[in-house]
Amino acid sequence: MDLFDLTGKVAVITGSSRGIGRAIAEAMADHGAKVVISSRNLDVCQEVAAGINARHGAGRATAIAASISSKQALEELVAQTEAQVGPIDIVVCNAASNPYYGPMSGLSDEAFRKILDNNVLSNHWLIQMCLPGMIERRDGAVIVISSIGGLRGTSTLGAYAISKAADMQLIRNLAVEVGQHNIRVNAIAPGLIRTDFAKALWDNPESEKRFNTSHPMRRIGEAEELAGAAVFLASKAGGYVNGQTLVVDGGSTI
Amino acid sequence: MSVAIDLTGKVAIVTGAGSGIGRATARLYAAAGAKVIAADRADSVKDTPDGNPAIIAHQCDTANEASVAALVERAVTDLGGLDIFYANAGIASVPHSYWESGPEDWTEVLRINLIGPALAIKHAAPVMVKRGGGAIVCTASVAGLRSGAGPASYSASKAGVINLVQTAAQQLAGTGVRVNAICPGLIETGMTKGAYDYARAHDKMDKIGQVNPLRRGGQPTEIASAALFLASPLASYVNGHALVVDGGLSSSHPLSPGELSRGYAGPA
Repeated sequence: MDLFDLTGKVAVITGSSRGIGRAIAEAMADHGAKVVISSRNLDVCQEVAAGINARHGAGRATAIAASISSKQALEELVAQTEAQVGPIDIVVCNAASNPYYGPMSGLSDEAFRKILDNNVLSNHWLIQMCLPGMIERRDGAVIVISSIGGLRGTSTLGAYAISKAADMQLIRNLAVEVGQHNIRVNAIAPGLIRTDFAKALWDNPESEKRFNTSHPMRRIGEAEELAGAAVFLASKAGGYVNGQTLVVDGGSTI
Repeated sequence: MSVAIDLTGKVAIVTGAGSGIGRATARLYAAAGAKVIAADRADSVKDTPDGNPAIIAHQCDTANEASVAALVERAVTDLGGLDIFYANAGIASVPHSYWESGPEDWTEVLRINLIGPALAIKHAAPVMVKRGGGAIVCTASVAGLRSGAGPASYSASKAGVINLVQTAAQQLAGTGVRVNAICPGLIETGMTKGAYDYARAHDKMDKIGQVNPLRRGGQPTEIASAALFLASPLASYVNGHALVVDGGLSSSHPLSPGELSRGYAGPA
């Protein structure tokens, strides 16, 4: 038996048109899942879905656009997934935003609220929408992409780090609440990963070199290296892992 | 298409492989294609291969330096190298309170649970560094995260393992060797046999997982799958991490069932 097999499972991954979300969607499809590619822009979602379907056959990936900042759009995402693909077994809350980089002293109320809305409240909405079906079927895996930014103090990541710490508490609460229904809720905390989202932190040979010098693996991570953790947490291999934040940072925070 | 984890061509050592988590992991690594040396000081390790020629049983003291050196040497000589070392051997300490325990209560549990993994890293890492990489996994415990899951000596030994993998990961910087720990919660093994036997004898199996969010204890195979993940390319950027596999126990403030802890019962 392949403990990491996801054959027949329906997985919704937000923010999956690029970066970490896309890598997770592709890996879950490689492991047999039917994946829903979702982000704000339908065109790019369709491109990613087409690529997966070309590799694995039609119907393995479906593009459904949704903005995570809209509750109604998330309701549509769930309804469309159920109608077009089937009941949701796996939900990966990956989409997030960080409109502000700098000290807390310069953080506007508006930016603070937007970050908490998009990175915490939206995750709560989407999970809340997926749970009743999972409870009914007594099976489900919920994964929230947090960040090591939420594990330590920071002078630059501001409200983003606060929102990511909140995500870790969100999954602990939910793990305690719905574990009894055989639903597992976990987070992944990536370190610095080569994505567009974190481009400002690595897109300069000098800063990448400086980062590498003090990093235990002497390198930043690639998006694909997050995908393994998501497959583990979503599959039978992670069947007794619940309420945990799996750190995937190459050792940055040790 | 499904992508099973493939350890074909890899050589692994698993200690504490005479029973429980170690035995399950040795068998899982072999099922994934690795050649495995199953080490344990107990006779029972002879039964771990269960007819699978990919598993070699090796009886030794996994916390004695000469024995560990010989164990690694056997992997290199007989199997051509070493890619994965799962330092899992551990013992429970005799239940005692902090102020009743003496040095003799600490010595053996620290030797097996903490010095054993330290020796494993010391002797396995150089072989892996020469090969350009490898994965070392050590068994810690949720007892090493906070109090309440074992006597002080056992808990402190497991807390030591968590720091050991962090420090080792740091000291092996840039070598391609990853070092991680697994923190099991309550798992049905020889170590917890007493609790399980008592529960069965008194018709109290429902108490085993009563305060666990998943409402059950875990099985050795559920730790083995975490050990497979950490040893595999799926975890290529996971380093210095203590992966907790406890059903959610340590993520909560466990409460006995009642109004406060009843939680969401699901759709009516």
